[in-house]
This record gives sequence, C-alpha cells and structure tokens, in this order.
Amino acid sequence: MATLWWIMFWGAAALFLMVGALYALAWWRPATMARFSVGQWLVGGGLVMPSVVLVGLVTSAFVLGERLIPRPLEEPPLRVHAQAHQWDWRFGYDDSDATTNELHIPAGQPVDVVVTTQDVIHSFWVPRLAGKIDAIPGHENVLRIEADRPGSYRGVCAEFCGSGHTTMRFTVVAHAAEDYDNARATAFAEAAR
Amino acid sequence: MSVSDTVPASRVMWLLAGFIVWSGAFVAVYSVLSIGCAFGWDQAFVGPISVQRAVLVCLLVVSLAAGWWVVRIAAERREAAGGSGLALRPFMETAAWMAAWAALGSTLLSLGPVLFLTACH
Amino acid sequence: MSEMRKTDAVRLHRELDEIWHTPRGLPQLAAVNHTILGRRFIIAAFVFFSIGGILSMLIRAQLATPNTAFVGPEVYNQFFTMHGTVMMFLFAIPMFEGFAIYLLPKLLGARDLAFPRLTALGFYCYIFGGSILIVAMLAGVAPDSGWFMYTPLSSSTYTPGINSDVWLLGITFVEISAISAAVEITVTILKMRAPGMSLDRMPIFAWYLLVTAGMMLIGFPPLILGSILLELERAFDLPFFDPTRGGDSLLWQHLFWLFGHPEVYIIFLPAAGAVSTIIPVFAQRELMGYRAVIVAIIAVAFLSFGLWVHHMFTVGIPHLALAFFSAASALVAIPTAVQIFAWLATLAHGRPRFDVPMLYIFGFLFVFVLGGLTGVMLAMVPFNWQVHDSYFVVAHLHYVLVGGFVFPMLAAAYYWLPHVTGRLTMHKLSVPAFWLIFVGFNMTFFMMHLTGLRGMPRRVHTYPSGVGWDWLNLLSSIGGFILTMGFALILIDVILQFKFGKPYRRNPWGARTLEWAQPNPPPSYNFASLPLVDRRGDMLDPHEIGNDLAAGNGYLGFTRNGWQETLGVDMTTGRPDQTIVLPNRTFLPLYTAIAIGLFVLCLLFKVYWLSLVPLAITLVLCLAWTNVTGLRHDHGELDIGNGLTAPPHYEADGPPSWWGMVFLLACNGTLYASLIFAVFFLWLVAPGWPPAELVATGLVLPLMTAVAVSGAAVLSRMAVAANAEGGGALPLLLCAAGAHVVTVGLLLYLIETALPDPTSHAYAATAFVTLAYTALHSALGMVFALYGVWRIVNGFVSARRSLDLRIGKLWHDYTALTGVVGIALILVMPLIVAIQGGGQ
Repeated sequence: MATLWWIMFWGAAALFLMVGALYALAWWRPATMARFSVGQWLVGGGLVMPSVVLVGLVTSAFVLGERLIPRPLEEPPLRVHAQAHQWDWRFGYDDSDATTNELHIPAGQPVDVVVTTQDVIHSFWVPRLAGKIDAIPGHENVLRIEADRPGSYRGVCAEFCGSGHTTMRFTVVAHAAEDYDNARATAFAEAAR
Repeated sequence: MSVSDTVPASRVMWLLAGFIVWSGAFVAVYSVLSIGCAFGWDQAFVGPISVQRAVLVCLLVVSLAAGWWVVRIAAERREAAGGSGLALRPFMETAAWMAAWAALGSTLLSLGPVLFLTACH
Repeated sequence: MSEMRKTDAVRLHRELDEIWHTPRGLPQLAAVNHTILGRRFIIAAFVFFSIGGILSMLIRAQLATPNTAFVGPEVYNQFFTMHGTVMMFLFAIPMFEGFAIYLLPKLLGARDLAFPRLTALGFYCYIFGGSILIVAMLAGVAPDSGWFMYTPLSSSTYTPGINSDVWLLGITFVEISAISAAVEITVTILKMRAPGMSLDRMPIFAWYLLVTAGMMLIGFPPLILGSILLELERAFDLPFFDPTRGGDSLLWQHLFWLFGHPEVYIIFLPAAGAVSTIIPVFAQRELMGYRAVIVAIIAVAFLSFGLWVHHMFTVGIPHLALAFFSAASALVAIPTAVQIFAWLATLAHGRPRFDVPMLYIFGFLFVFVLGGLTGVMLAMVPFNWQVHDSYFVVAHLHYVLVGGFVFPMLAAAYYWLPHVTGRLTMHKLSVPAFWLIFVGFNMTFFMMHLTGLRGMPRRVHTYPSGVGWDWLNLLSSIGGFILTMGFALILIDVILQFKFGKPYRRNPWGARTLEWAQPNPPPSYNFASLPLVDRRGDMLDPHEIGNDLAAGNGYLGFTRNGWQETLGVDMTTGRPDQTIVLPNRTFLPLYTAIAIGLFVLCLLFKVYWLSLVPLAITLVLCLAWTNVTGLRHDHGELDIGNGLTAPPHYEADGPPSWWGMVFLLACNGTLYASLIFAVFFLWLVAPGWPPAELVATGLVLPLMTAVAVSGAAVLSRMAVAANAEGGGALPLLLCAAGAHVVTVGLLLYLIETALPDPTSHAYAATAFVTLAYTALHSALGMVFALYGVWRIVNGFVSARRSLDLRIGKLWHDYTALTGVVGIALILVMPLIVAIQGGGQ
C-alpha cells in the first residue's frame, strides 16, 4: 500500500512538472515546441503517454487489491464482529456471546471483521490497519485487517452518520498471539462489570 | 454555400455508435457479474474455470467483436466518404471512425479485468 | 453610399428593436429574451455562490482550531450539507446554464434560443427552488444529511423533520430548470445555427455544450427518480430504501452517483469549452486538433457514465466489479489529456499573447492537472479504500471542481464581460485578485490532502488536538479567508468595469467567432440579419461580418408581421429549412412557476389533497402557453432574403418543438430505465426478498391495458395520417383520448385490486410506481389527444400544419412503449422472484 502511494506520488509529481514545463515552453518558446506537429502532440502526449502510465498503474493496483480483499484462505482467519449504531460500536466474537467496546484482535495474523449496522450507514476505519468498509443496513460486509505488532490502534467512523458522527471513535487493541485469549477474557470481565 | 452534399441526421448517430456498444457491454457485464454472484456461479465450474468467469469472458469477447464490427463499418464509411480532410462528409465519418476506435480500446481496458480478477469477493 | 447604408442600418435596428426589446418596469418580469435571462441566471448563480462561500467560511472558522465550540454538530451538519448543495445545484449548474443561455444564440448566429418561454420558466423554477432551500436554512431547518443525502440517515426514521423534504423537493424543483435548459441547448445547437454552419464548422464551444446538454438529459433523471422515490418513502411510507421491507439504501447510492459522477463532467465540459475558445484567441491561432477534441469530449461523455461506483468502493461490492469502474475512471483521464495537449499544441503553433483571461487559464491548468492526478490516484481501489471519505477526497474534489470550473469560468468572465458591458477590462485589480485566489485556494486545499492522509475523516464538526491535524487546518482556514478576499476583489473589479471601463466598438480581443460580430452590449435581437458561414466558426472576421449584418445584408434583414423571426437549419449541413417564429414576452412562465412552487410547498407542508389545486392550475397554464403559438392558415415558403425561402416552422418537418419533445422523451425514458434498474437491483441485492405477497393480476386485465394503451398510439398515428390526407383526424383523436381513459381506468383498477399493499414491501412499492407511471402518462396522453381536437376545431391544424398532432403522436408512442414494458415487467416479476437465488 505504501509502495503504491509513493509510486503514485512521484509519478504524479513528475507528470505535473512535465505538463508545467511543456506549457512554459509553449508560452515562451513556441518555436521549439512547434517542431512537433499537432498530430504528434495529440497522439504522443494525449494518447500514448497516459495510456502507458494508466495501464501500468491500474494493473499494479489490481494486483495489490487482490491481496487485500477477504478471499477464502487455506486456514480461515479469525472472525470478529463490529456492529455500529448511532453513535457507538460494539464488538463481538464468533466463540462468545459477550461483547466489548474495544475490538481485541491477535497481532501478526489476518482477522476478518464482519461489519454491520443497526440503523444508518457507518464506516469502519482504522487507518493504520487497513482501508475502510461501510456498514450498510441489511448487509454484512467483511474487511480483512492485520496488525503487525501488538498495540492500540485508533479507529473512526468514516461515513457521515448524524450529529454524533465526530465522536464515534473506537480503539482496536492488538495482542501478541499467545496473550490474546487472556486479554480478551479480561476485557469480557470488564465489559460485564 | 456548399449545401448540396447533405448528410442525413441519422448519420450523426455514427459518432456515438462505438460508445453505445461500450455502454451496452459495460451494463451487460456488470449486470451479469451481479447476477452470477447472487446465484453462486463462481462456485460452479466448467473444467478449470468457474461458470461465472466463462460467461463474463464470453461477454467480453462478444463486446469486442461488436466494437470491432463498428470500427470496420466506420472505416468503410470513411473510405467511401473520401479519406481524411475537413469537409463535412469525411469530417463526420473520420470522427466516427476515431470514436469507434476509442470505444473499442475503452471496452478492452475497462472490461479486461474479467480475465483475471476475483469475481465475487 | 456608406451614409445611406448607415441610415438603413439605423432604421432596421429601430424596427427590430421595437419587436424584440423588453420595456423597463413590470414587463421585465415577463422577459423571455436569452440575453436578459442569461444575465439573470449568472447573477443569481453568483448570489448563491456567495451564500455557499459564506457557509464555507463558517466551516473553516469552525475547523480552524481543535475542539472549537463555535457551533455544535446540528448546525455544522446543516452548514456543510448546504455548502455542497448550494455550490453544486444552485451555483455550478445554473452558472453554466447562464453562460450557455447568454452566449449560445450569439455563437451560432441566431436571434434567441429555441424555447424562450421555457428559459424564463427554468429561471423562475431555479430561483423559487433555491429560495426554498435558503429560507429553510435561515429558519434553521436546512437539510443536514450531507449533500448526497444517503438513506437511511435522510429517511423519516432518522430525519423526522422537514430537513430532507426541503432538499428533495427544492432540488427537484430546481432540476426543472436543468432539464429545460438541456432540452433547449440541444435543440438550439442542432437546429438554430447560422445558414452554412454545418456541424464541422460549429464553434468548439457549441460542441462542448451539445455534449454537455446530452449528458444532462441522461444524467439527471436517475437523481430525479431517486428524489421522487425517497420523497414517496418519506411521505407515504413506500419502502424503496428501507432494508427491513425489501428496500436497500444502496439503491439510493447507485441512483445518486449515476447522476453524481456525470454531473462532475457536466460541470467541467462547458468550462473546458470556454478554455478551448479562449486559448485560441490569445494564441492567435485557431484551435488545433478540433476533430480530436470533439471525439475526446464524446468519449468523456460516455466514460463518465461508467465511473459512478468509484464513489462506492467501500460499500462491499466485489473487487471485479470495482475494477471495471476503476479502469473506466483511469481511462477518462485519456480524453482529458487529449484536450490538454490540444491546447498545448494550439499555443505552440500560435503566437501567444498575454492578457487577464490567460492568467486564469494558467491557474486552471495548474489546479486542474493536480486534481486530475489525485483523481487517478483515487481511482485505484486499494488507495481509495484508505482515503475514501477522508479530507484527501475533499481536497481532490475542490481541485477538480474549482480548478475545472471556477478558474475557467473566471477566465470566461474576464473574456466575455466586455461583451456584456460594452466596456474593457481594467487590469488594476484583476491581477492581484487572481493571485489572492490562486494562493488562497492552494493554501486551503493543498493542506487537506495532508490532513486526509493523516486520517482526518470528512464531515466531522471538530477534532482532537495533538494528532497532527492542528496547523494544517489552521493554514486551510487562513487560506480560505485569502481566497474570499480574492473573490471580493473580483466583485469590485466587475463593478468598476461597469462604471468606469473604457467603451469600445467591436471585438476587443481580436476574436474570430460570431458573438463578437455584434455591437456590445448586444442588441435585443442579436443580429440585424443572420450571417452566411462559409468556414469554420472560429476562423471568421467579426469586424467585416458585423458591419455587413448590421446593414441588413444577411438573411432575415427585415421585419415581417411583427414576428420574432430566426432561422432553422438542417441538423448536419446547416442548410436553412424553416423560418422559426419565436413567442414574445409573457407572464405565463412566471405564473406557471408560481403554480409549481405552490404545489411544491403543499408537498413540503404535507397538505397533499390541497396540492391538487396548484397542480390543476399548472396544467391549465401549460395549455394556455399554446394560445399564441400556431397559425390559422398555410403560409407556404417565406422569403428569408438573398433569394432563399423557407416555410414557417409550423409547416416544417422537424421544427424545434418536435425535436424538443424527442429529447424530453429521451430524458423521460432514462428516468423510466432507472426505475426498471431499481426493480431488478432490489430483487438482486436488497435484503428481505422474496416478498411475502406477490402481484396477482391474472393475464386478462394487463393484456387489456396493453391493448388499450397501444390502441391510443395506433389511433393517433391514424389521425396524423388522415390529417395528411386532408382531414378526418378529429374522430380518431377522440377515440385515442377514449383509449387513454380506458387505460387509466384499468390501471387504477389493477393498482386498487391486484397489488399487495405498497407499504408492505419494496417489491409492491415498485410495482405501484411502475403502474402509476403509465397511468400518469396515459392521463396526459388524453390531454394531448383532446388538445389536438381543440387545435383542429380552432383551425390551427391543416395538412401542412400538423405539428400539434405529430408532437402528440410522439407522446402516445412513448406512453404505449413504456406502458407495454411496464405491464410486461409486472407480469414477469413474480416469475423472476420465484427463482430467487440470491438476495442476502
């Protein structure tokens, strides 16, 4: 993801400077630019150049996208549930009826978050763990996240959902795999209190 | 005023023909994808590929064939109208021919992903 | 000799002005003249722009520092919702319409637009609809669900007040002006050019406007349908978007963005058209790659309809489906690149010369290219997942919309303002104003890329301190105020030009298009006589043409019967084929808009039975429009000057009103297609299917309905044929009206007896709307048929003057076609629902 961003950033910067330079030349030194015919400008600059850039970019984005989507894996990842309502989140787990108000996940492995809503559209976004997915009424959406190392990760509701939208924040806590069960049991106990 | 070389109004539609094929292909592929995913065609297989992908690739091939057909006709019409130039007749025909090519390229690029991406996840 | 020419010119001017001018005082409200209404559209749009701007200042004041308590979320939500709504619907679209309305006939060499009274109606609908929104805001009940109004947040459950109704009804009211402008622009460009202006000689701006208007005809109906469905849900509990009863909020998103993305290009293309007009003037060379640019804008027009899902990349659509839209979103950059390089080539092959409009053109290129590049980034699915709904998107959309619309429009304003004022631009303020806007804009919005990348979501009314957003937001706010000062300077600059600008005689920029062949400010009739165009429309000599036309040496250089005359031409070749007689000023558009406004207010305040009164008045007023149109006897070929003749448009094959109906029905057909899409979409995707109860009509009644509605179309076709033979249309039309009555009766009976309760499930609700749609069209079909009868009785119809009947025929054919499709849909849906495999 970061690689894609830097490729796009430097690519965009280069293209922007190129267009700027060409226009500057056309303005101050039209004669040098007029050596190329109109057809050459249109086909070269308008057609070939962007086509090559875009095909390359789109293809690499597709490849990256394929890696990120929640496809079935050999070993099914852990599934957790994020249920949104105006204006808070509850988090549930496949193996327990208890819920928590922070999401607890094991670090270092992919986790599928099943995102749902009880009322309006919300969106589950933890910027440092993955992209976002919307919680759509009547639908279940799955987002695959992965925390490289244990720690707390801040999350927000990214889709405008009414007057509490701003404060609809949450935290994802990633635990080392071996601590995960204990940590979650503690969280359940706290939530029950 | 050189108005004798009239061009019927319907011929203007040839400007749009290529992209109308593109639109049809786009709608067809997107709808079939949604229907296939709803009915689990990605889980059924014919040989090594899923029914879903087989149907989509067929649609892509049909779309490209239709787009190519428009390009061919546009090229013939352009020839018949007298090659390139800026007078009205070859002007419209040449523009139609260029648009047909643009549409064919767009079909390939925008629907090409049916060849390799995951269909229903 | 030249002295005599001059007196002739003055006499002709007096005669024409007598017919065309709009007197001061009250008659100004009856104005239908495109110059007057174009100016009014532009001024009104600027007023709304100021309102939107003030809202943005309030937003930036709120966000300047963390944890601000300036306003709470309830007020802030209204701020940003109204900012987006005002800027998109009440500024950008009407501003471009204003430009088009003012310029188009002048560019094409016509004396007015195709439907002057429709221009006026559109203007009043725009003003009234916009006022409803602004008044609601002042009353504190403005829409507050974001400018794209996602359900269910905007549904009655979560927005019980009238906030959402204000948006849905007010904006739909305003859309009347968008649709009427689109029809009018399309017909004017295709039918009302100067003689000899074949399609390949059209000024490039006209090509841009033609493509844009075509896009509006296809792009706006999904939004209008969505608004109608959502309002039906809010008012009568029909659950189109309610996931608990077979509806789906995603349907709204699809309908909205199916409009919303083309909309971006609908805004951009006219601005690009202005750029393509202005750059050649200052490059002192005609536009290079004229044909490639035309192909490029056609490509943009189509591709822009294949992008809408890129606003929905995070709603859980399969990756492959996202890929189509991602690829199409990237593809659309190619035709844009073609235009950018065509402009570059024009400069390269010309002798560039500097003036204020070019300054704004460079501002446009700088900002828009950056916005385009971030647009390509956002088209990449994985990146989009990360920054969607963050401030990165806010930055991007302002770069493309301000860069792609406001900067070119400012260039256009400086370029064409002398045309309006008859005075030259003064440079003293123009240049500093540009720099304030340019620096202020980039400072405001460049920072937002960074806040977005640092994880700041959109539409938050405040943010915590210390997460790296503080100084970026402060800089944005400061930039915003600099930007505002720039706009204030421009306003002053414009006022100064009106007051103190140096008058000039003709064509101050050395342009080579027709609008500069007029004296400025332009006379009420535009051209004293209409030109013969013998080369590309951007390679003319306005000075020579101007003198020639003023002397009356072109076509129609005289007055006849006190008619407002202009020429209609063959669509492609530009050969004159009719003398178009335009209607004079009238208060009817104002009255009609008031009646529609009362209807909207009745709906807004939920007095539904009372709403039928203004609705009936609207219908009566619409019929009253036809009072002054038509001829009572055949005129045959009329002299149009220079040895040519053309019949009055009432006796021509393809008059503007006939084409207007064709394009209106195309637009209507898109609305219907969107409805059919909604039916299948809900079946396939929405939760809560299959419905408990299916439509049970049997076969007999639906088939009878299909026969009745088709029968009406057949009878009307027979009536047209009989009329061409010399008479006997009247009884056939009466029968057609009867067939429509039967159709409506059958449909109402079906709705009453065979449909499950429409509030029970989205399936029943869509079936209800499908049948009601045909019932409504059939009822209007009856009006059309009886109108034909009325016109025959009053002597407006002859074998040559069959226009009224042929327009009716179009309506009857359309009603039959959509009616049969609708009935087939009703019959087939239960079978399709039975094989339901999917849903969720």
